[in-house]
Amino acid sequence: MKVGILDYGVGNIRSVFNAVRHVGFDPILVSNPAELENHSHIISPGVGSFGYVVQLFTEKGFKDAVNQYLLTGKYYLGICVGMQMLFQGSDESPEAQGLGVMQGQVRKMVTSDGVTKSEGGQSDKRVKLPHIGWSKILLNSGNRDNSTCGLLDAVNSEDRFYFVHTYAADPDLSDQLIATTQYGENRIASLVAHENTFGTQFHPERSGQAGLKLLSNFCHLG
Amino acid sequence: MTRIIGRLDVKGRRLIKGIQYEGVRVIGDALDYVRKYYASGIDELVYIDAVASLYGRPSMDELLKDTVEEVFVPVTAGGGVNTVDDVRSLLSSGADKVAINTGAIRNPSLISEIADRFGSQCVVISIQAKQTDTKKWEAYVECGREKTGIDVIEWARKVEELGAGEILLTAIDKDGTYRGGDIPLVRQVSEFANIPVIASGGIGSSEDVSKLIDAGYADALAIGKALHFERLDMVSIRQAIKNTKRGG
Repeated sequence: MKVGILDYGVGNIRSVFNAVRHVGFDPILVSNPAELENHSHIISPGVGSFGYVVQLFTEKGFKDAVNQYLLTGKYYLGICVGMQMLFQGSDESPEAQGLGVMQGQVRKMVTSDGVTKSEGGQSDKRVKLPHIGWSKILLNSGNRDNSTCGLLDAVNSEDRFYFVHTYAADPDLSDQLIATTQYGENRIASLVAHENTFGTQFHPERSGQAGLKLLSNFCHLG
Repeated sequence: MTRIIGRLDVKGRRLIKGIQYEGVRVIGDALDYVRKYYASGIDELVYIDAVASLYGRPSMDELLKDTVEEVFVPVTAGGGVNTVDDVRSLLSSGADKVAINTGAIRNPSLISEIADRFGSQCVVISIQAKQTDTKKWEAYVECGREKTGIDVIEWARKVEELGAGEILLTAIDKDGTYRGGDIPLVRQVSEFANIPVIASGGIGSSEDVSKLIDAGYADALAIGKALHFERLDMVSIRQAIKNTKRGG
């Protein structure tokens, strides 16, 4: 496996780099789009605003290179905004176009002041944004083959992952939605997949043992 | 689930702790403590560089780099952050977020500059609050040494407008005392804030934990001394949170 981590100028890529190394791989930071084709697994981190991330991505020539890479059927994992970017667009930056691998739009989550339902039942906890914290993920029962795509092997249903975001993807296709996470009234698309392309809204590199397991599963695919 | 954040005030690589920001002494090697907290399931870590403000620049790069080699939970770094470049440097050393107090009070537009460049999620505004009257608190800078004349509630409102992603709210009067958190302070800030509020200062028992969540409406807790001196452990804190109405 040749694991590459996209380095296009945003985000804390060191944590992804360290996490991948921790699970036994020797990742390479890819700052030149031409080098994408040398890899079998690509991880695309991303934090900040959708528009800014897409702008950098495009300016540095990654957009075309990633589209090319995806056509080859090799493995790709987008994290946080890196995942949102797989969709067609985001309400956060309506002028910016995503990669469009996943059908749907990224939307702002809703806050609420009153009584809301949480995973544990009724609670009067106020729903604030950004959504910051550790949450479980729930497999999407509406997904036809309900495939966990290997990414969740040995991940326990009680395991929690670290989220930090204000916007969340709203997939059009149930088949691309692997797992969701409830936050107040928001049903967050927490894990999406289309063929060999995956996206996590949470940060596996910041999610302790469960996150490391997921990253290890990804790097072992194929 | 309310987040439990291990708070480490550091001087270089050493973990230090004082009481109400006075009488600071060295407790040990920060990384030893962090390893222990990570192994016991801590949700996040906050490093506050206690001397950086004095020298005007952060000095914990080495500690950060070593930490993120083996710790895979979010790490916030603060102390002496005055410019966008300071932020860039801390993030590239491995921090996920930065905590800013003095630098933001001197130059509030720094908050929006950082939020625009790196996203709101990475801006934690650290507020050191000292009580001046009933339901009145003043923001302090320079590790609780200097007053600013700024009202904490108004300042909290302003930092949210400017794009802060979280507020780390430390009650100076309670800090390091184990006498419980400042419930009215935390409640006031947390009730109007639309962003998460991390309560810090005074936590010494499971009851303090529950009170800050159910009566103070804290979204997260930053615990220092009680963890360092093993007065509380993660299991009992987690259990206390599970039993709350708002945090479980």
